[in-house]
Amino acid sequence: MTDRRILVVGAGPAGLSAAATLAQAGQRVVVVDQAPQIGGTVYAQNRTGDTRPLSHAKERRALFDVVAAQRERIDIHCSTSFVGLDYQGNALITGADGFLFQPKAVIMATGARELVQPRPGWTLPGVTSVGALQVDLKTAGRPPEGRIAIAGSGSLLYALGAQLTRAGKAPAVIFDAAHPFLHPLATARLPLHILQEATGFILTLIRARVPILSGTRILSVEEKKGALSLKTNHGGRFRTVEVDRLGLHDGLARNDYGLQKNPTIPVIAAGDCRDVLGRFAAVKDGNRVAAEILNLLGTPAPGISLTSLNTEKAAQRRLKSIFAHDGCNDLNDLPDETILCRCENRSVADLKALTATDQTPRMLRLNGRFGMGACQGRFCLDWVAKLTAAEMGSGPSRPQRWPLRPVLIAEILNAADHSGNETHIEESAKCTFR
Amino acid sequence: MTGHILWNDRDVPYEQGETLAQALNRAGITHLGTGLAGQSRSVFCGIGQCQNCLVILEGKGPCEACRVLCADGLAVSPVGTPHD
Ligand SMILES: Cc1cc2nc3c(=O)[nH]c(=O)nc-3n(C[C@H](O)[C@H](O)[C@H](O)COP(=O)(O)OP(=O)(O)OC[C@H]3O[C@@H](n4cnc5c(N)ncnc54)[C@H](O)[C@@H]3O)c2cc1C
Ligand code: FES
Repeated sequence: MTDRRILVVGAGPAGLSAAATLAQAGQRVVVVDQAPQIGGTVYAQNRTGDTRPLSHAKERRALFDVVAAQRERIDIHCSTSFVGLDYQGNALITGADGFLFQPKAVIMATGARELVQPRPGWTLPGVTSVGALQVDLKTAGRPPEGRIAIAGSGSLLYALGAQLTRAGKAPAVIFDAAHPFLHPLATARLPLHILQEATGFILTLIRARVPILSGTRILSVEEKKGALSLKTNHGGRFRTVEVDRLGLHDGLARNDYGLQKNPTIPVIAAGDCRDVLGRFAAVKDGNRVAAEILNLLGTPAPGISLTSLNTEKAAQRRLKSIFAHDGCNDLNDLPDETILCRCENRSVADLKALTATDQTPRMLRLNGRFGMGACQGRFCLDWVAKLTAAEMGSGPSRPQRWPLRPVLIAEILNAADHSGNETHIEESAKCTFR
Repeated sequence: MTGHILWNDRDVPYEQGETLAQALNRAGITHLGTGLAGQSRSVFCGIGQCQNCLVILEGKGPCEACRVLCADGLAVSPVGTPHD
């Protein structure tokens, strides 16, 4: 037996459950997460020392307990990022703990990408993703100051709205581009746990009299006297609303960044980064992928039933149809000055200039810089692809390149060399399981 | 643990467990600078994916304000200045 460990990237439900399953089978695991604490997006912990119960407290506890029970075999490095894997299977890890080592397999459990559709003004300070507001609320334990509007589409609008309300700060308004309440049949067929959670959100919002305006889209955002002025469109009726913070969200997408095949070791995705199926499926998928790795390594693996994964898959399809809307058409009407690529400040006009001259998807990246910025196209390529579908079919391809995130040369030079795999790597940030 | 970080030499208080972005936003600082291509720096994704919140950590270089925890005396400044 060699002493080589398995690397799990991401300490959300998928990564943690994979790590626990591997450890239970006798494997040694190194978990890294770039966030300051474990829990991932949905079980992000309150870091203020506040001990009041958190949302999803029971589920979080159950997950953390199985990991804590295997702590001897699981190293956890928080505030630490996985940056890349070279062709020989050396993994580069940077951040609070920087090191190089040779895992015998890698599980990518990096979570979903949040989709946010570009609109004029979406790059203004004070405009964030809904996820950003939610993670802030969970980790700081308090809502932001000022009037908050939530807009876009998807169940997360209601989750955040209710969570803000329960934290004493009901949002000023929720604008939903879709008509989720006009689908009683599809809604009735959602699994009970999703229905119960959704009903809880809606009741909380109704009790707090939060205006929910469905079929309403935000056309543009402007900064006016230190506030955000939103121009909305409800079936041709236009309104202006003033708020201080705006959370935008247009769904979640899988996140295949970092999933390059490696010639020497298996690299497998688990959880929402593989397919957005929600937090219950993410736990299950972590177990499933861990078993797959154990099989590949030729060691006994637990049998994993896939029934619940299939149930969640059907539920997500149903949710998608409930929140379907034609708001994507707004993309074609975006004014020329609208920023598409936030990293490189590239606008609709820049894209039009490129597509007017015969460009290939590859040239959109090389000449247009779309997808070449620091986020590697995570937040623009979906929209660039939609806007250029007529001219070039698939649109620019996703860059498959290391590093997975920007990295300082000093971080590479300072990474401790553990490629011999013999020593324990110190965890510098204290990991809590609250 | 509470304390102060330095933003452009201005004292900004933080509370236990806050990221740079959380402390700065709470102090009313949401505009975190202007990137080299003229893009406004501010928190967007909040989970380290978009790189929109890059700031300079003294002695270390660029980092995401939404990921780095505050520590007393930490000096932070905006990234670069725009091209002419
Ligand atoms: C913004 C957002 C908000 C959400 N809110 C809810 C909600 O309220 N309720 C709900 O049921 N579901 C929510 N979801 C969906 C939910 O997150 C998932 O179903 C579930 O958390 C997925 O678990 P996971 O383990 O696959 O990913 P996550 O829980 O997202 O965990 C992924 C982890 O990987 C880490 N990571 C990513 N890249 C790297 C890297 N290169 N190096 C090191 N670490 C890395 C991240 O820091 C993160 O902690 C949300 C998703 C997002 C993106
Ligand atoms: S806000 Fe996106 S990386 Fe910090």
